[in-house]
Amino acid sequence: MRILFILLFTILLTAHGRAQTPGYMGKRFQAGYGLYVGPALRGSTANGRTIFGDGGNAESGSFAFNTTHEAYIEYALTKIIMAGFSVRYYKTAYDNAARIGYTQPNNYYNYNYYSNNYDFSTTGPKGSYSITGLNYSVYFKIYFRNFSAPWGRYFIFGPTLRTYTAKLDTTAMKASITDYSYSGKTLTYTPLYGDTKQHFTTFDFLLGFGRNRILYDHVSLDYGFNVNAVAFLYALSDVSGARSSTAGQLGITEISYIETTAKWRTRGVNRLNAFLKIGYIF
Amino acid sequence: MQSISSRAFISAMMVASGLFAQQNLSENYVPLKSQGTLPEVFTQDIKKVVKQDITDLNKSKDNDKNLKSTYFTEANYEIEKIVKSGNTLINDEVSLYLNRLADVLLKNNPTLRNELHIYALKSSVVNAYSYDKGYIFIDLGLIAQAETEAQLAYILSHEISHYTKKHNIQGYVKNEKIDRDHYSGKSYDDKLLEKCQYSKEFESEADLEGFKLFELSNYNFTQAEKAFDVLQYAHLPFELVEFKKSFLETDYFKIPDAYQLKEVSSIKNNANEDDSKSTHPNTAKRKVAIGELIKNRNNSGRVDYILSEKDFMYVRDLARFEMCRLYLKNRDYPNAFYAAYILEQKYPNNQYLAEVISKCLYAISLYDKGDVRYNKDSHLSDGIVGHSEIESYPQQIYFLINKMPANEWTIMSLNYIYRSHKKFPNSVPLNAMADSMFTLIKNVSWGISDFVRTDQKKAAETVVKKDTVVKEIKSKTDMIANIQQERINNNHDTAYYKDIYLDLFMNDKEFVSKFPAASNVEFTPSSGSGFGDYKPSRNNDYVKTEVKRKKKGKKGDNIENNVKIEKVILLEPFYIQIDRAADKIDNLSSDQKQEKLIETVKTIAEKENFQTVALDPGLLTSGDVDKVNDYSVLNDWFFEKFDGDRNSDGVPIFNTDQVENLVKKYGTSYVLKIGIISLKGGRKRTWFYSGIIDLKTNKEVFKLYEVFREKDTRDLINSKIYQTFFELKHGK
Repeated sequence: MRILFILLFTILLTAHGRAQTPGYMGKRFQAGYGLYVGPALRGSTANGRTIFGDGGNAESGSFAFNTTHEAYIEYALTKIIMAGFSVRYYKTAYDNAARIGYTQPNNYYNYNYYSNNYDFSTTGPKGSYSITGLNYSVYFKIYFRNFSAPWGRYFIFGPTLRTYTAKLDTTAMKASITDYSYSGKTLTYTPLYGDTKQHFTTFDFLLGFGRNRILYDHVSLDYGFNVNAVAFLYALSDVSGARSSTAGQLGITEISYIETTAKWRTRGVNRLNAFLKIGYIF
Repeated sequence: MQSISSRAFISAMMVASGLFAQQNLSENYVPLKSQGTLPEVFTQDIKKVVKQDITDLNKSKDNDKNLKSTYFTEANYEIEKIVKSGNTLINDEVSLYLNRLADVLLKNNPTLRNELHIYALKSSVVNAYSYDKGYIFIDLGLIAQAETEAQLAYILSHEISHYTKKHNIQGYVKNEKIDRDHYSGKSYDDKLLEKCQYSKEFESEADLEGFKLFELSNYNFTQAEKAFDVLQYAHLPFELVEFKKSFLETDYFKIPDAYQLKEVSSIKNNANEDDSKSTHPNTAKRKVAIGELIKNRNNSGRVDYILSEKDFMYVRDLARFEMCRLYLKNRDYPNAFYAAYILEQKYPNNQYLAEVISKCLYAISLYDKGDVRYNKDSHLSDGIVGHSEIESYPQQIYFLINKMPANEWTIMSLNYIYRSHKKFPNSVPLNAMADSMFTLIKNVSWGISDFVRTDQKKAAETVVKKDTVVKEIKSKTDMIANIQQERINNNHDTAYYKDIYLDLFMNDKEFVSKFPAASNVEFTPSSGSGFGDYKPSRNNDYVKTEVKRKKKGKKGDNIENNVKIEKVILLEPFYIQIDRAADKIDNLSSDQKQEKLIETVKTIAEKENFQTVALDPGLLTSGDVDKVNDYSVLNDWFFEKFDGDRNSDGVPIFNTDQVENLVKKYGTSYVLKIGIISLKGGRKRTWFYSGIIDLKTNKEVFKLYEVFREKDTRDLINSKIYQTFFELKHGK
């Protein structure tokens, strides 16, 4: 709220001063709707599809994209700077590609000295769980030389608060574990995921480039691409095998499974998106 | 359409009402202006005209409908562009005279006569043009060169024949077909030769058909043949007379013989030059063809003048006076000087000629100093060339310019300009130029001592006490006292120009008061004239020719920050769309986009409550002839201002006299010009320019020049135009 207050204050200040901002034909506000699209790579869409899966339960090889819907309002502070606030909504799913770490069973000799490996094998839980997210961004657009906000090419940046909620059916998300070293016995069980509805919040930083066109002097058509910088930096580790092959043995506990995997997934959705916005300038 | 009788009636009424009372050229000259009611082309809806032409075409059985349809579109826009260019003279003395000639030629063909629209074109080029729909334009350069009325009549007949034979549309169709023939394996040169060949055929046909028309009147046949000599020597001035240095001399100033070129080169005869890559046959061939026709005809009783010799001479003199103005506009000072010199022999007391010559002298002083510059985009792309590149007597002017050192030229210029100012004391330009010349003299530290011989100084010393130091010159004795205190450069004591101002020093209080006697004399030039405001870019330096360039601001920046302007004269915006694929300007698209641009500029200016006075031929009514003239004046002014060298801020615009009146009339000295150039096909580029020039100071006070790697979209254009008005109104 504090940052919104600062933004509002700045707008009022510049509106009263004889700023050098022309806006577009004197119009300095624009508000509208934006559609963001990102490929569902190594992650699932809300309806369980992925272009190139990660060994999870999503239908791999599909033409799958995550979509995000945005409402935004922007104001031309100066000839080259535009400030904006946006709320983005998206829905996705995690297809439970990651395995769950196990607890050391008592009285079992489970380390095979010949193969230097544990002889347990776990699988990811069955099915998937859904995630809905809301991103709040305060951002600034810096227009390139010769362009005048809100018209032209720009660079966009600003802090983003990602909030998201995971909803899961714990009874459907059963996992299994097999002990090869001893009996080859497979045990199916329901991990302790925690609540069926879990909220999380993450901070990120929005970066991108875009091009704003004005049609018929009032309609704004804005297109380009942007990234969430933190999510982008995690790209390599997120798509590496860590979460599927080794996580089962080394990392994700039952109770942290949703938090960890939901974080991966939302990073994936917000990592890189192309967008097309349509708005009204006034 | 007006009938011949109604045209004659209108002309008679104009003469009767005093509109066309002949100018008294022995005293002064007033540049030609359009008069009366503007023709329909100014007010018509061109889209409707094009549509009608195409509808008519579609009713006919024609195999080239597509090509002709494009032709009609382009031709209509082209004609409109020329008529509205500001260079076309409407109902002026010269155009009316040309129409009277057409009346003579077509007295038995009123239908054809009524189809013709004949105008004089303000251009120094020696040419004439015939367009579709009977539009014929004759350059003033051609009229200035013509020797008789009959010659002009033959040239007009030639152009009328182009129209009656529909050469224009046929030529277009033929050209396009040759260009579109991709499968014949013809090279560019082959295609060019083919185009030139049939173009020459059209010209020959127009020569012969024109002669048939010419023959119907009672003009002397031999003048038709001589008309080709006019074309042959079009590169020479309209007359060849020896330039005598005595013209610039006085009793106290004699130019050394070394500065006078005694023997001038002969004139080359290129009549038989290779014309294979020319659109016209060479003049020798054309003369022979006409000669053949004349040979078998009886020429007795035929005359050189049917209208009147006096009228012809008068109209030709008007054209010749205009040539002086057009040469000045083109910054072609040697030719302007020579043209004025020729006319001065006939009209020695003409104020306008004194002004033209003064402007030339002053401009060449600035050129010598490096402040007037040329570059490859200038009309004179090579600047003022050496005399060896010129033919005949004009060489003498070029020789003098190049031979005389810059400082001596300045001294001589002040002498001529000041004396002209005394001769014509009511001339504002002469007064202002004289003041500016004093500034020039002062800025290079010339003082009275430079113009006094040592023995005279000694003589003065006997009269005035030696310790007299006079700060403020109030009398002749003050002046002499100051001379006494100044150092004399003995090396220059014998210089030929020492006595140049002697009589002025002794007898002319104004001269003495304005002449920089020493550095203690402060002199303020008169302002607001476009001349007096000129400040040389460098002080005390006549030697170097390199001039420090103005420090450039950031690209796109205003030239002067925070300039706030509330009212401007808005000149017709320009829009040029270049079709990269076709490697040519898309005239049709350019014109259509220009129309939209005009509307946009108008709308945004109104929306911003910005006061604009539109001087735009696209927005005129039939009674707006004054605006056409004003537009023409400003266009000429801009042409001169932006001729090649864009960094000439502050350098006088010599075509400035009439601009003064515009500033008073419209209540602002700021002129806004907006223009767009865009590329289509291949890589997209758009150039946007908006600039404001202050007519009083000749400086660009606002400039927005930006290049975009974008298409020329509506949002781009709107945004930039809005930015222009916003920044003008509120400052940057």
